Amino acid sequence: MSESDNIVVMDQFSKNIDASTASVVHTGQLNVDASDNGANSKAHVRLAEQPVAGLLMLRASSEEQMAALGAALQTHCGVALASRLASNTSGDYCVRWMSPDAWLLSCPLSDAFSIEQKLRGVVSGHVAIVQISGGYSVFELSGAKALEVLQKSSGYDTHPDNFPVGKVVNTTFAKAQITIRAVQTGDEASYELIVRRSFSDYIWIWLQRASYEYGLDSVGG
Amino acid sequence: MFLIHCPYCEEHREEEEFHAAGQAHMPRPLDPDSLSDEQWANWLYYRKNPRGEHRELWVHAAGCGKYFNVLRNTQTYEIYATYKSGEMLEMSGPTTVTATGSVLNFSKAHASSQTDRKPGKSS
Repeated sequence: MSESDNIVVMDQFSKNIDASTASVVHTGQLNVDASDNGANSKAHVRLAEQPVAGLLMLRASSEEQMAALGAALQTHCGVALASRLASNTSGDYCVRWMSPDAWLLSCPLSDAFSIEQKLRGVVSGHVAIVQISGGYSVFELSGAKALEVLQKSSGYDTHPDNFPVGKVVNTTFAKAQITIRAVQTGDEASYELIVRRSFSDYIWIWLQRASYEYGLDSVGG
Repeated sequence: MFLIHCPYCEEHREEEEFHAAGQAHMPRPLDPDSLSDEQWANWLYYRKNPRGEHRELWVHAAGCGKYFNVLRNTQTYEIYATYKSGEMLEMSGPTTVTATGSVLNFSKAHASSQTDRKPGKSS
């Protein structure tokens, strides 16, 4: 009996899932009153929770496995495995470097199960391909002052000189841990924040309070 | 602000992201059954606690999650070097004294399997 015979993989999400109801903040109960935008009448920060995405954590321990995973990703998702602290994006697919032997792939939720099966088909041995869609929340923090919100929330140097578009870091954020990706920098800066599901309400409230002084717009959910 | 260089992320990061994990280069005995109780207890419980240069294992807990080695001074908190798990730093020359302090000279060498072994590999 081979190793793979012992693994049962099942689709964790119903085909009929309504992504909005899976949101941690969709009820709006966590939203602070943003009608008064602090000292600024103009909103300089926008905050939104992304619909639940398919998230796959990929781990490989050998060069051969990484090469096989990379080739399969290229075939099925159009992205290559990202190098150190980088990400590769193609359409709805994004692969983020998490560690020298771990990557986080995001994809449409409806594709997650089929991609998981395809990737499992090309590698064997000491690898892990795990769907963690339910374990994380994805926020988008954008606007002219988004960078300042990041800078006062995290010890990592998120200035564009050190944190250009496409770069991904795992770091501390407020009193939690977070994965930040620079989607765009400058006046229309946009950052993707991936947080543990259990920390998402805490981070959400933190971001709203931290954005308050710059004026907060379109609180999602 | 205290910055530590992660040899895997190849960046200096905040001390907050790291945790110390004890003395470095403590290979698990390959055949524990053949050890005396004293030898086993020495490996399990006894650690050096020097004042001065010390090699420690640290983990980039909030970052890449990798363990690596730190050669640092327990008295001054100065970190001389960080290097990957499975590697070894040897002194390659005498200490250089500069205007701002002393600099240790290292050469990087791969540790033998007895000094440091990657997890998951058994004999």
